[in-house]
Amino acid sequence: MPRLAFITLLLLLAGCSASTRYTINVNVLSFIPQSQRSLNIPTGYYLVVYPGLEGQLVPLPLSLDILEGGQITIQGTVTNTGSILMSGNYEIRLAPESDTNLGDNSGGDVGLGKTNFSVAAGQSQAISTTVTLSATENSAAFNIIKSGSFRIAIRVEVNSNGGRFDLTTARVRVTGRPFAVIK
Amino acid sequence: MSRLAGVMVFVLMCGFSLAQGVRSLGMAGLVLPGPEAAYLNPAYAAYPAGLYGSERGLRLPMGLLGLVLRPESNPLPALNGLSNLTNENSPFDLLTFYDQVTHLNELLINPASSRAFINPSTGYPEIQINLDANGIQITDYQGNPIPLDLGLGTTAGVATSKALTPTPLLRIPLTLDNNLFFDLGVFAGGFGLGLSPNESLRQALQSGQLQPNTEYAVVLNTSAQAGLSVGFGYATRLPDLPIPDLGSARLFVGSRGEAFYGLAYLEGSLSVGLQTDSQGQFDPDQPPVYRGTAFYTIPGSGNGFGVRADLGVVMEAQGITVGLGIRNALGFARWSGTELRWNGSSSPTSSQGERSSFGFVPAFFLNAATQVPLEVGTLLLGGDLGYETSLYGRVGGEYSFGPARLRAGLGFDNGLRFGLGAGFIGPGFSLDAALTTHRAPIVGNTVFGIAVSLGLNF
Repeated sequence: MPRLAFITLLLLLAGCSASTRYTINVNVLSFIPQSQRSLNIPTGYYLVVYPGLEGQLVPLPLSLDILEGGQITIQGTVTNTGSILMSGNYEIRLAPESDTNLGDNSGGDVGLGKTNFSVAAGQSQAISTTVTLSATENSAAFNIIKSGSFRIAIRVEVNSNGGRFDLTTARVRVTGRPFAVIK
Repeated sequence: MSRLAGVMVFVLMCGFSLAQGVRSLGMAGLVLPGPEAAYLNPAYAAYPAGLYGSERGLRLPMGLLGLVLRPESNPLPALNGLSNLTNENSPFDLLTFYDQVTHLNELLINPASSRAFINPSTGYPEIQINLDANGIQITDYQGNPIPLDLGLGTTAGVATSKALTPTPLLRIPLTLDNNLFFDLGVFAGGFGLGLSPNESLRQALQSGQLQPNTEYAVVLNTSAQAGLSVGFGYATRLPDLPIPDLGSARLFVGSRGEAFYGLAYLEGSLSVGLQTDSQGQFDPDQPPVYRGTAFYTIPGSGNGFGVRADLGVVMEAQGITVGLGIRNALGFARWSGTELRWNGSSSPTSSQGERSSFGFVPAFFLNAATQVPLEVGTLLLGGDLGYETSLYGRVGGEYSFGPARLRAGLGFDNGLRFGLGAGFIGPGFSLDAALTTHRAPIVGNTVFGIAVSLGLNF
C-alpha cells in the first residue's frame, strides 16, 4: 500500500501548486473486522483497551514532515443492558507503530479526547468525539501521526451491571502540503 | 547519464515539432492544394505555386513568453533557491508549468491550473486521498475522482506507421529538369507520450475497491523519431481531359520515392505496479513490479533506414481542385538499436534489438479547394480527409481583403477541433496568428492559446 500510494502521489504532483493541500482520510473502522466492532461490557468495574492492547495499525502512506494538521473522529453507541446507571469514560489512545502496548503510557503511547458518559438503565446513548491535532493542539499525538504509520485504540473504563459499546465511525484525517517537502 | 540526457533532448526536440503552420492552424489544420502539400500528395509538385496562398514565416516560441510572464508557470525564481517556488505563498503551479512547457509554440490564455481544485471553505487547492482496508480513492474536495492521464501527441512506432516518416521540420525542394524533383528533409517527430493508470488501477481509483491477485500499475508509453530524408520524384501535368458537362479538366500526376536515414528512435511501454494478494490487499514489503520494453536508437548506437513509394493525382475543373495522395504504397523500414526489457524487477536486461516493417500500409490524403470571388475580397474554401493511423478531416476557409486575412475551420483529429485565425501582409513582412485549443491535462477543461508566425521578405 505505501508504495502504491507513493506512485499515485508522484502522479498527482502534476496537479499540484505550492499551496495545494492533500487530505488523507483513513477509515480506521474498515481495518477492524466486523466481529470486533462491538464490545461486550461485563458487570462490575471494567477497564479495557479496545480493539486490543496493541491497537489497530493505520498504514499512513506518508512519513514526511509535511503534515500541517489532523483530526480524529470516533462515533458509536453505549447501551446499558443492566438495571443500574452505567457510568464511565473513554479515551483515544495513539502510539507509534513500534509501541505494541497502548495502555501503559510508555513506549510512546498517549491518550487524548477523554469523554465521560452515564447511561440510564435500559437506555442507549450516542457518543461522539472529535479531536484536532496540530503543532499547538495535542502536539504529542500530532508528532506520532507525522512519523508515519501509527496505532490507534480506545481505552474504555465502565462501572455497570452489563452493556455494550458499538463503534460506528473511526476516522483519521490528516492534511499536508506536498511542496513543503522541497525546502 | 549522457545517453539519458541525449534521449531527453531528442524527445524534447520531437515535442516541439508537433507545431503546424499558423495559417493552417487558423483553419483547424486544413492542408490546401499546392506544392507545400507535395509530401502528402506528390502530384502537387507539378501544381502551380501560390494559387491557394502559402504558409509564410516561422512560428514563434510564444510559449516561452507565457512561461516567464505568468508567475504560476515561471520557474526562474528557483534560480535563487528552490524554496522561492515551493513556499506556501509562492504562486507556482506545477500543472500550469507542465501545460505551458508542453505547448511552447503557443501562448496559453487559460492554461491548466490547480485552482480547479480550490476548496472555497479553506481557500486552497485540495486533493483528497481516501484510504480504507479495501482500497484507495483520489478525489477533489467534492469527492469527484480525478483522472490521472497525462499525454501528448499519439504514440506510434514502426509497427503502426511503417516507413512513414513524420512531417519534415525542414524541407528543401529542388526542381530538376524533365518534371523530376528532388527534396531533402530533416524530420523529428512522431512524438507521443502517455502516462496513465492501467485498467485495473483506473477502476480501483473510481470504486475505491481492490480485487485479489490483480496488478495495479501506471503505464508510460512513448514514441519519437528523428532523421534525414531524401525524396526523388516525378510529377507532371497530363493533357487536359474533356469531361462532359464539366468542360476541360486539368490533370496532374506524381510519384515519389523516399529514403530516410534514421538518427534517433524511441518506442517504449513501461508499467510500474503492485500486485494484490489473494485477500485483495497489498503486502507493504512487496517491491514494485516493472514490466515492459523500450527500444531506442541514438547516434553512435544503431541507426535506421527505410524506403517507401508514394503516388498522387490532382484534378482541376471549373475552378475546383481535388487531389488524392497515397503514401507508403509500398514501404520498408528497419531500425537497429538497444532493447531494454523489464520482467518484474526494476533493472532491465539490455540487448541489441531491431524494429522493422515491410508491406502495403497506405496512408490516404484527399483534399479539395476553390476560390470564390466576392464583391469585396476573395473567399477561399477547402476541405481535407485523411487516414494514417486514424481518420481525420477538416473544412475551413480564408477571406482575403487587401492585406488582411481572416480564417476559420472545423475538423476532427483525435477529437473535435476548431480554428480561428488572422493574418496581415505588410511591406516586407507578414504576420499570422491563430487560436489554438487543447484539453487540459488532469483538470480536463478546454485550454485556448495563441500561435504566431512572422515572415520577413527582403
